[in-house]
Amino acid sequence: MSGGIGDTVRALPEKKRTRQIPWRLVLPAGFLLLVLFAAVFADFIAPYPPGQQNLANFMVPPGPEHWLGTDTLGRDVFSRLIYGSRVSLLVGVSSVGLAMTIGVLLGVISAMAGQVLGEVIMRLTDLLLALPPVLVALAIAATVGPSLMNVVLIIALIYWAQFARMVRGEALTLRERDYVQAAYAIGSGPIRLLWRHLLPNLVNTIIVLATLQVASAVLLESTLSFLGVGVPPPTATWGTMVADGRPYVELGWWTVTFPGIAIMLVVLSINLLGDVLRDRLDPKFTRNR
Amino acid sequence: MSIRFLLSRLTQVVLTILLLSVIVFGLARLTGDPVALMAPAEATQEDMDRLRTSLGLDQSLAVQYWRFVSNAAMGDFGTSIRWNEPAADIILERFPATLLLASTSMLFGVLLALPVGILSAVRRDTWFDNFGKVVSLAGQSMPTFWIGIMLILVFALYLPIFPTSGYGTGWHLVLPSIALGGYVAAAIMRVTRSAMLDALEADYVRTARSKGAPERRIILIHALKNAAIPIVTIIALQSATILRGAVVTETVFAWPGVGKIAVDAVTARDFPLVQAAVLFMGCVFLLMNLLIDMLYVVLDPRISYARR
Repeated sequence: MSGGIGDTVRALPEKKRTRQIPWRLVLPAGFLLLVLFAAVFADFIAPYPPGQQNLANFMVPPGPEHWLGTDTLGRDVFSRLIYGSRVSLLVGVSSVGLAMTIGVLLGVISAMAGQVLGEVIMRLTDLLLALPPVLVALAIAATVGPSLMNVVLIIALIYWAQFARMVRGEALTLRERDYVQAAYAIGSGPIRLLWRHLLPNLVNTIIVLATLQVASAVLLESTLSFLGVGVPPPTATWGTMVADGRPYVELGWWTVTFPGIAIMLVVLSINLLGDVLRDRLDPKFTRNR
Repeated sequence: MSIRFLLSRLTQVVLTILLLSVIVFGLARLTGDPVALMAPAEATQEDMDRLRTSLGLDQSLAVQYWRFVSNAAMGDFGTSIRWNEPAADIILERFPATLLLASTSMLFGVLLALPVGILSAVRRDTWFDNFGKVVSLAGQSMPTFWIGIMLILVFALYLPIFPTSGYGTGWHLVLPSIALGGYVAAAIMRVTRSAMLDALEADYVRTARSKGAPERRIILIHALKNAAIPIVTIIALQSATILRGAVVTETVFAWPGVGKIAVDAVTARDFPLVQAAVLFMGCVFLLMNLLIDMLYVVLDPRISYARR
């Protein structure tokens, strides 16, 4: 962006890079690993079963028995948070994985195929980027019914557009490069062109975008669960926990506060990680100064 | 601005809206038999058949789609099952409430983001700058529904300053505007900061400094004026984004706008109303994007969409 020379001159004396621990990387990555560990070993870590109800424990405030209190059905909030992390991580990663696959494929197809097909795909991405994702997801979820699988599919269905947009743009530029033209001239087929010459140039950008998309998929999943069209009730999810606690929020702040903090910390960590990745992997993005 | 650019953008928007209508129509047909939803429980097969014929649901999909689109083009989106009123009327009736909330939220977002963004650029790499960065990143990582509930908890229940939810007085506007405005403030702040950083490093700022212009004047006149284009653009883009955020915020605060009515319609399986709401919001958003593109050309004469 702006005068790179001025930046370096100013930056050099100020920053002592050598002995510093890269907190920007270590903190978010460490936290995410911790959450991943808790999600995988939830059965061993959670002090109570997530569905264990006990009406005698109606909304017990946080204390030594229940670290983060209990909800309206007497279920342990901390245990449900741990089990809820499974849904958030699973939906976030798998929906974006699916979206990435569809998006990259359609993006490449739209760049390589004829004008009509390319144009149709691009109008479809316009549309998906134009509509409120919550509303679209809500409408589809109400149509197909709520389930873990459907939430993943719905988010993937909305999120592929970003990938397709980006890949198409990059592929259109790369297509004109000499080495791609040369490969084409010596008779490389479309698959080889794609695999050997286009995708390796796109990998970094795709990884960065995917990371940021996972953060927003976790948010969207929690919103859908909150609105009652996400993963259905017996499963503990962070969004449902907020929705369950909301009518009784006057009686206890902990049922809605902790799940929200959990969502925020996970999303924030993924976003921070995405920023670091962007700085390191993708010189095309300007540094977030 | 070339006429050709305008025409090609318009064609794109029209195509996208047509595509939207196909999807909205298809989605509603996926939900199963609308007649079964509409008919009372004690209806006989004969009653259902009569209802089906009267609604035109016994005809081919193509005919049904054509009727749907041509009616929609005339402003007829069918009748809401739940309210038994034309869906378009219901939406238009609620739109002012959404517009009101969107404007006050935008106002709050801009009033918050501009000073903070400018100050962050001026005091680059100080605690203020870093604090602003962290807060805006944290803000973007919070679910909007949760921010709303937390605001209600603190400023309506614990400190009974504002009403918990609903519509009516100006007091009702405060909490939802903060929730929704905060949602867009983070992006505006970051763009303001980086645009100001660029502007502050430019030659004319050095010139202004060297001739002894007061610092306040340099920042607010010389730099800000030149940073205006990206800032205005992001504000325009965010005013489109705010309409999306409105869906959740309106639901949390029981604000009777288009977003809330759409969520209610989905829950009540009132599909004509869902169709109308999705089509309406999609069109508004697409048209706003078109306006922004045109605004961009007007603002910055260096940009032309003629040939890239």
